[in-house]
Amino acid sequence: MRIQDGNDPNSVGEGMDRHLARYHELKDSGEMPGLSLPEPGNRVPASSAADGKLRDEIIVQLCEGVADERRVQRFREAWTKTVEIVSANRSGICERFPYDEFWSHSLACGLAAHALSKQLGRGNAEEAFLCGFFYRVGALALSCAFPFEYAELMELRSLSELDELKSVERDLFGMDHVETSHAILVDLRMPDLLCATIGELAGQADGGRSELAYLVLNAEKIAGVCLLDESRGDEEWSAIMEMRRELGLERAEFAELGDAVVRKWWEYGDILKIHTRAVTTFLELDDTGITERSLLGLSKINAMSEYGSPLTVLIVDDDPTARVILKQQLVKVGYRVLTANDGADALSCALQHSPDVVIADWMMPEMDGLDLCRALRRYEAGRLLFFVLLTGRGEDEGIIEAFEAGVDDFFVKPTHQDVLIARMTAAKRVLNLRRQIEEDHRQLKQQLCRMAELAREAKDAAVTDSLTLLPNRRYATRRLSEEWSYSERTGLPVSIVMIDVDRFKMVNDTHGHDVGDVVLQRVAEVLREATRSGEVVCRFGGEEFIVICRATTREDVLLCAERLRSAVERFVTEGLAVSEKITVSAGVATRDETTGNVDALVRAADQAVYKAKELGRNQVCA
Amino acid sequence: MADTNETVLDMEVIGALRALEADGAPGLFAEIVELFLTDTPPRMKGLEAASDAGDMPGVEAAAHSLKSSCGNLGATVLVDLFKQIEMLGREHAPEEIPSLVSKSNEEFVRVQSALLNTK
Repeated sequence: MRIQDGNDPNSVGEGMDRHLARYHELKDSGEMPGLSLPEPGNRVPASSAADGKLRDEIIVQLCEGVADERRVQRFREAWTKTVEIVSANRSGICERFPYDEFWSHSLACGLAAHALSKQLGRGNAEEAFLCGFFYRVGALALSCAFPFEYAELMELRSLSELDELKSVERDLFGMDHVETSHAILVDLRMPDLLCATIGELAGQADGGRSELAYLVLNAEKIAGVCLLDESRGDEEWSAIMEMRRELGLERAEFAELGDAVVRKWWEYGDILKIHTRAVTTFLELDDTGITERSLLGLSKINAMSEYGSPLTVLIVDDDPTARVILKQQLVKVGYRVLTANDGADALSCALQHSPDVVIADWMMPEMDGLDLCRALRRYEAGRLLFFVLLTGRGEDEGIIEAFEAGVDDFFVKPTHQDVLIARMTAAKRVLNLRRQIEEDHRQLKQQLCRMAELAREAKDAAVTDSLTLLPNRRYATRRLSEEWSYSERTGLPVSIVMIDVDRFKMVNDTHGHDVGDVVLQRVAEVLREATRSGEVVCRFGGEEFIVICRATTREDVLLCAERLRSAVERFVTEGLAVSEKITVSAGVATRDETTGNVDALVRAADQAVYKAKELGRNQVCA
Repeated sequence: MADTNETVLDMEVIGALRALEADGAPGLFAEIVELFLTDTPPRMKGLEAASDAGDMPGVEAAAHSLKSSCGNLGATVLVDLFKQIEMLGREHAPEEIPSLVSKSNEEFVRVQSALLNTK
């Protein structure tokens, strides 16, 4: 890094433009912009149609009431860039920079500016949003451009104290982070008013702030609450109350505004995959600034899990009206809600998002609520969740069967709000207990494993694979050299089969590692059942298995490999919640006088697997 | 008008739905009504088709789901009709089903106009 050789404004043009010149100097030397910017004309599409739709929904909401089409269009363009910038800069190279928290704060600040603009009728709300959102983006850029220096700065000050770093930044980098924000926004050709506002905030002039700049400064105080931890003192709340009086807002109005910002923060955070968390509320502030703080009203407490973030509920019902009603009943008391309209949809959604509670209609076409429950309970992610079945009044015939299938509770439809909340509170209690027990079990298991491990380590033989319970690679290697010597001594042949699960990476990517693990367990089970005496199957690595066949000729090992391959094809997919068929490719090798050693034998089998994959998978090659 | 609405719709249920809307979800009630009005007729056609084909399990399943979605909107008379049809389907007693189905069609028209009036 080069340190600028002086802060004399005359050396690089006058006053306000100094930092722009500095920015271009750093850009020419490759140090700026630091963060990844979208290339002009190179649009990153939303990762899915649903994602794109949700993001469009944000545009509609933020531009609500804007009649001028050009304004909406301008915002749409800026918004597209915004989404790209966020997704390209979720993490960075500066070790101490809190990237997640940074975006979280940006989003809160944008939303607060938007809400203030609407409430006070000052400025254009959608522009206020952008100003709030991008006010501090320069800090992120500087942290990426000068990771080591910035890491040291972050030791000194937290995100909410960035203003105090400005002069040090100017000393170190020749520009502070707000100036950097301004330069980057100009460089990105963001809307003029946005650039001008951040430019104004970058300047030192205190008098005569524009409306937007005024909104941003106040919005940041509100957003500060989103980052505030409980240990922070009362003086910050006093400052916020002071601001409320200055803005001329009633207590109730202000509390409502603050809590609405927090709700949007959660909602948009989910859509944009920006981290948010449960926060202290505005609702209970009193005028002296001394507060009786609560979590977003009393009822909100209901929605919080032990870990402080709201519980996630997945609603599954083929009746759209019921979905909408139940969703709103839960959202209004602070739950995060996902919805699915059938069992299969729900299963994949649950495996992806791991909800805390699933509320499913019993009667659904195809996969009904009970089938869904049974399927979920097979997976790690579904074992602990609280499963509720929705049922009509007086329909409790299959109730015993349902509890046996792993259902935790019943809600009778239509569900009354108070009853729903009461039962969700009970659900939360059960969930916490269940997690506690699970944690105890985990620790106990860990201790047991540790002891078993110690015992085995003593004998230098940890030979079982913990996932599939098959002998592991260490065992396979030892066994192979024993069989090799046996073959040498007796002159009997020895063969091996290498087996590799087809397209396993895709299964993992599509359904997650939980599902991947279950697939491996199923394959192991089927292989174990299909092997005969004289054949030993071991897990060799990732999705690779080896079968060692004593006294087996080249012809016989081909038959053995085919028997295993076809068993997998026929039996593995059964009982798994994956749509694609699980198959394996197998390669065989037999020891003969040309095979130098065990490694060469394994290599030959590996090459045969490779050939089987090349020829289209799900087959045996020699 | 209010009198008719009360017999067709359970105003307590409607009130609860409106209360949801008051909790920071403007337009929710209208949205629910619209969903219900577009979602229900095809389901009712499905019920009629199952009845015509003498498919009793089909009748039972369709009536069951209609019963619960009408319950969401407090359409009590419709709920009762579908409940009866569901029972007849379960008991494989097709004789009375067509007349109940046509009654439910008439009742749906009343529910529809009552809902549009409450909007």
